[in-house]
Amino acid sequence: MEHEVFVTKDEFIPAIQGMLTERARLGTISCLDLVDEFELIYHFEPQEAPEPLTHLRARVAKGDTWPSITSIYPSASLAELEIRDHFDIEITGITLDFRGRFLRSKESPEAALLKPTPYELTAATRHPARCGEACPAGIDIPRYVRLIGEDRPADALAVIKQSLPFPGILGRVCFAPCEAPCRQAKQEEPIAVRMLKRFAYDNTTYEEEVAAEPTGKRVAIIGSGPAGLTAAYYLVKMGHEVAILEALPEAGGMMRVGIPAYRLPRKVLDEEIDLVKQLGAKIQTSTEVSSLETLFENGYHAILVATGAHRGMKMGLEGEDHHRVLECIDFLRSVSFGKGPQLGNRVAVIGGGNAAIDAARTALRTGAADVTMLYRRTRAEMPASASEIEEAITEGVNIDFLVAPRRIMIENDTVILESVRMKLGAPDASGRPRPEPIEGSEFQLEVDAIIAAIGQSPDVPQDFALETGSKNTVIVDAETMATSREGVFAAGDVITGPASVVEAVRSAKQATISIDRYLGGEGVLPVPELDIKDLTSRQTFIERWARDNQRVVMPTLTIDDRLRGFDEVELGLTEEMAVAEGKRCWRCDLEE
Amino acid sequence: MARTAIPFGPQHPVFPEPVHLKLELEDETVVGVTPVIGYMHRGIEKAAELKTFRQNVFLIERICGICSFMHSLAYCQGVEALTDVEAPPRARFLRVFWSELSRSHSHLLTLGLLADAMGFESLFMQCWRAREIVLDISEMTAGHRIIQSTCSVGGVRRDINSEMAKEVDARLRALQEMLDRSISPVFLHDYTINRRTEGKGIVPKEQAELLGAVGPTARGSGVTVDIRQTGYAAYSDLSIDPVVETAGDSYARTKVRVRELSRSVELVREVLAMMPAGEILVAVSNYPEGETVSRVEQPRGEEIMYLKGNSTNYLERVRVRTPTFANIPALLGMLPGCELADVPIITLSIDPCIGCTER
Repeated sequence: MEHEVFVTKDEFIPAIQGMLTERARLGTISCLDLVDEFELIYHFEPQEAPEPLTHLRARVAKGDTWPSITSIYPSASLAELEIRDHFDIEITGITLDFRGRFLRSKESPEAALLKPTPYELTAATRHPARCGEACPAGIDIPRYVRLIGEDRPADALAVIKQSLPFPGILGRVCFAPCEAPCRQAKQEEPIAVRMLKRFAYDNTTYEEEVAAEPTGKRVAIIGSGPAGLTAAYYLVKMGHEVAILEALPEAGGMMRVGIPAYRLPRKVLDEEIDLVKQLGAKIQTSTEVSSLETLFENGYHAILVATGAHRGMKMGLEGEDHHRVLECIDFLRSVSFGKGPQLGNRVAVIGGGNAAIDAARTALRTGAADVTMLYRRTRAEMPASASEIEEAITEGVNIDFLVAPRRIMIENDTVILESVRMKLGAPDASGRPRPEPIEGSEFQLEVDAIIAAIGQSPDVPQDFALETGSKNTVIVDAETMATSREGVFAAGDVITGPASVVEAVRSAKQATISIDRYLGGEGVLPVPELDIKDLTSRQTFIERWARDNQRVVMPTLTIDDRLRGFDEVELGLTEEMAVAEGKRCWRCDLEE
Repeated sequence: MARTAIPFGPQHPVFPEPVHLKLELEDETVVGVTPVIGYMHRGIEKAAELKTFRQNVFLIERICGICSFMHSLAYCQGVEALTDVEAPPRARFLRVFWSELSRSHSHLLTLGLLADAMGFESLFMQCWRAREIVLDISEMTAGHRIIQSTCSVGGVRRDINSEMAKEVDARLRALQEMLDRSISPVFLHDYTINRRTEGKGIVPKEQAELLGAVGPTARGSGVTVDIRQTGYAAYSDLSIDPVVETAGDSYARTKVRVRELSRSVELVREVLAMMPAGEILVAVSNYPEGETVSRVEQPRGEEIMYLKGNSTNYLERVRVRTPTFANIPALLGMLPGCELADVPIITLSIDPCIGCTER
């Protein structure tokens, strides 16, 4: 062909600007798939029509990004969109709509071609996406997923930090309520939002803003779990003086005693607790609070009760009080503090929640060879998250469905668990089918220990004199998180019963706002302004359809390595995997 | 002031083709416009890689039902360049013959639709009645009213004899008379046409160049660009003066088409008179190799076809840039500032063909 010019990525934009100064007209852009890379050909026509064309040729690696020329030649947008749709080239900065360019007003109809502006996302061009709507902490999920897809994990972390103080912890233990409503969950391939959060935390750092001017107000937080730490993080940054009072010898609450180290390594937990300390909150461990009056007398202006739900519920069975029948949280706590009991070889775990799964997997790691879980409904009704159940089965936990314990008998050194088979009946109040016993199907199981994990409830001292509701939860105003006593607020599991870390973060954020208002502040969470430009645009249907739609699989330890100790099972995503996963997002939040 | 968003298309009474324009309005004035295309993408570029280069002629022809002959012409000229074959002189004149027939029936079609959009039913019927003459000629000479299927790599597949040429000439004279008497004067002087198009949808020359406008859309804005001047087929033996207007409004674009229409009919008659005798098809014995860009002037503007061969029976890449694809940015430049009621007419004034756009 006539007049060919080969350019590199660096020479590219100057070359295009050169064509504009020669007043060449852009014919079109062709893209060639050269198997191991792409070639883009920009066909330019000289101003005088009969003259031959000039072809600007550039090679682009597969999956690479390439700058849009729409800020120089606005007419390139259609061709660029077509290339982005049909080939695996991310062309960044395409002006999708001509709004910035062809906007005229009644007052200035002459302003024909406004100055080109780079494509930027504004609030007006965004919709709430389902993932972000589902997040209890209110993280701008589509935005950070997109930023990771653009290989900008530091910016992604900054977006997460706008709404969540502890991405390292949540990136590991969150049940990801955002993944279920993802539009790709229909094909069982939702975006791995949680794994991406962990990737952003593990691979970048975030500069915390310094706390504001001291306000002179003092806040006492009872409990150093996720709710207590979240409230402390924000209150300290607002300038209040914060003291966290923790009954256990180490801070972290359920995150330390309830979540085993193979899911949440203690290093990450300590890092994020240290962050709160560095910001200026004081944490007093081994300090049990029995009376709120004493705290007020000691000069605290407000109190947040975030004591969690640590008291195991009783099964109400005969023989339950034997020392070989353990309560789940007690068991996990003693293992966490390195004082785990000798369970023996055969262990039965009763219950089907996440705590039960944690207990079963922990039992395997502390020497039990044969762990059986008993659950009275089927797998479909099990409250534990599906991935946790899958992991437990992979590690060798047996799960016996439709079984309920009847009584526990102790003979010599053996514990005999008598159980009965169940069948599913009509739905009960929770909407799940009610299990009904099949008479005459009783059977006996010989084990060395039993772990009861049928649920926990809050354990608020009577002396707090707070109004409590069903299952011993503290009653609060749904908006303000204020309890029945003035100046006392509550957040976390203590108001909901056992829930999740991210739920605790949500209620703690609400409580923080009210506490600040109660202390005379504005009630605005200290969130730094973000100066991040979004470049990626909406994926088109063809692009989605053409792209390999596999959800990333988290690399994990081998089974042998897992059972050897409490090393973290999930190893984290590589940069390549994370970027590919981020690009898979359909970007439902963007307007076409 | 409150802004209203009004969708134009993908189905609209005056423009039933799958393009969607999101209009942003302040009162009745359009202030912003966002295009959405891709409703009917057919993947012809990809399909062309999967068929042999001879079969592709029939595939490429079906990109569009109005200018189908010129799509196949651009393709055949490109492949001829890659196989080092030259079409014989008679074939080149016959190519111009069918090209100009296509142009005249396409212009009559779009002028009729424009009149219809204004509610000018009688003019619409006049245009389409005149178009029937062209379609009859097409059927007589090619065997099909619209998709002629006469172009082939190395020449053309059908010839016309002297008897047929005489009949065609007679019919064209009737058409010419119809144009001069009842179509051109109405478009050029009628009050309705003038008021609905003059000063509407202005795109200045500089903007038309920057936005890459082609064909009558560019020529209506004073850009002197007509690819027939490059002298492909037999155009080097004919005199081609680009029809240029400078106002840049819908009226200018309409006037360009009306004047081109008359010139097209003249060209067909000139070609019939000048047609040399001889072969119409030469054998192509080798496979296409190398790269080329082939350009033709379609009724709606310049078509760019990029072809890459690799010495096999199949082409490695076929890229088609159709004229409407290039005119959409210009359309987006025209709409802001106009009244909502003028949007259909301005849209039709670029003679949009979404069939071409969605290859």
